[in-house]
Amino acid sequence: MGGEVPGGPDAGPRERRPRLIIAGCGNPLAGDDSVGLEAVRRLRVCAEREGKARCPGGEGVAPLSCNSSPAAYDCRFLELADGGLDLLELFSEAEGILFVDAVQSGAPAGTLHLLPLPSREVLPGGLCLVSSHGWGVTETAGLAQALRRPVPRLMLLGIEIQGFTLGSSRTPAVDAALVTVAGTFPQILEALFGRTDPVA
Amino acid sequence: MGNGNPKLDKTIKVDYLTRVEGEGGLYIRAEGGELRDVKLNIFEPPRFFEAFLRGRHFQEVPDITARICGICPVAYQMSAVHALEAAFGVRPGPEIRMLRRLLYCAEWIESHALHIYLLNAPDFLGYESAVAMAADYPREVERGLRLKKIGNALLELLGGRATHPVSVCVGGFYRVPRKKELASLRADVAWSLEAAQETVTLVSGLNFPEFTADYEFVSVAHPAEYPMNERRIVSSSGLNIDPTDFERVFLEEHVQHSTALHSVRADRGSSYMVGPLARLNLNFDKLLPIAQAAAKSCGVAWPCHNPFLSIVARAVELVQACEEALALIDAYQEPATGRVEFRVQAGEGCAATEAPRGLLYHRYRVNDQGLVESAKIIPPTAQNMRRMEDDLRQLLPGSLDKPEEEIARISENLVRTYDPCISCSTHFLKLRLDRGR
Repeated sequence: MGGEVPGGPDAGPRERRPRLIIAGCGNPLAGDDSVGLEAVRRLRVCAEREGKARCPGGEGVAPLSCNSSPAAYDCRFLELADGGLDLLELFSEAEGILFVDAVQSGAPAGTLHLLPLPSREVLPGGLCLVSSHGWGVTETAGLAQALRRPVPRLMLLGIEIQGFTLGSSRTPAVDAALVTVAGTFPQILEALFGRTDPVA
Repeated sequence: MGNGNPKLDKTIKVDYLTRVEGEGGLYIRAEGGELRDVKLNIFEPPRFFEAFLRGRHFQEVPDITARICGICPVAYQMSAVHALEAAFGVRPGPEIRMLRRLLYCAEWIESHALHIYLLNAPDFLGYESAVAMAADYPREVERGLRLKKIGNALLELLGGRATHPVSVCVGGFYRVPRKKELASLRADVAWSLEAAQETVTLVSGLNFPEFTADYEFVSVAHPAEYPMNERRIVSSSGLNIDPTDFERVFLEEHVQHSTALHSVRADRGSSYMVGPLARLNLNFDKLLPIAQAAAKSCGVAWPCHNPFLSIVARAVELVQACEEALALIDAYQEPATGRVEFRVQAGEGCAATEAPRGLLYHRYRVNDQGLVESAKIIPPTAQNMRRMEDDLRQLLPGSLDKPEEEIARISENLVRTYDPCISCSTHFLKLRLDRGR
């Protein structure tokens, strides 16, 4: 499984059940493929600040309304080193999981896609491209269902990329999209929980 | 040229092999009902680890090589540290040696459980995937998942994290566990030992294709222990060499259709098999009592020459790893120091250890600053690659009149018995069957 992003508002007793996991996927060394990881870092920074200063925004992070930001939720931020079966453990730890990853569909670079998972638009095993015997979110969700384990609501925030050459930097259009990611949060929450208010 | 009979001339392509680690394909060409060509096309890009290890400090090597594989990082760390310790003349004490075996047991548990339950068992139970199998065999799949989770937990405790552990260093460990930390996992490992025996019962009851081949089995061998980190390399044809002779006896060859090199015997160009079946066939008498009892009572006559029964060998090794892990936890005494001091000096060293999927060889030359001047890494899947093609050449002629989907299924099933890790070899499978039309 991936590493916990340090210092986020998730710090604290682990027995607390996070309602929302935001998981970045990608390769930090492969240009645009790093965008999922970077988006989650920025969301974490935004949430951290908002927790202290009522959502100041800035540094490329769009301001958020407080009831619709990650800070208002019991939220964990993760960077997924790989997908695979270990995702199954995450399923029991959240009511909703948002995966943020680079995608290629032919749309202009920087286009944001918000899709429920599993989705026919996402190839099985296509999320989290680092192979772990071909297991991705779709397979893991299928296995959880077959085993009658709980499956949280799953969403993909896909960021359209131009390319993923090793050693290259992100393209300007993809960097520009990062600024808008936080602004999509109300839409994401609505899609995940059917509401933007964190109060259950 | 084919004879124009579409039933006898076939080209089969499996563009992407499933339930194997990494990316590769299979190409089969038959003409006039005769098999003409079999190629495991490995198209995963080369990874150049040996090149970018050059110039790095020796203590970076275990952490860098752990990144070669997410399933068997410990194997890479173990071969690396033993090779570098051979170069420096370092001999860690018995406590470190035992902790390394425990770390390796953890990896065998998680890797073997994954392969048996999630990757290979569906082949023999008639399911296309573990997801489909789980609906009818939830108890068994849950058992496999729990075994894997326990292996991961042990790995995390000893290695700092389950994937790409960070505690291993040349000379020992950066951090050794407290006795009470290990004790906290004892109940889970004890459960694993029971579950592993149930695993042997499950897999030995499966129906296996009738197929045997004249293999040369190769593995590490130790005079008193089931092989993991030490000491010599033996084979079923009487080979018994020091790891320093490995590159004299075994040769890596480049083939056009694969980014993974193929290993053969240098003297006769023949393929050989590494992995659980080879280990068990060559080291049966070194199994611990419960594992040996499981191997004796499972109905398989050892040595076994049917590669499809590798799943049974793997299950016996699961018992072995759990049994040994439990004994090591019970016997554990915290070492006074986690690593031994040593003087860095120029030198060269090599080592062979047993990754879950077979013998893994490393060799390093370092300068007097401790910087790597050259590195050589020969993973188990690369060593098995030629053997897998040889198996397919022997297996497929009797099946060429079957539908292409069935030929593809039989071929993939055979390849999966090897638990290939293409990411390591360089990464594995798409099937192309060319019937010559």
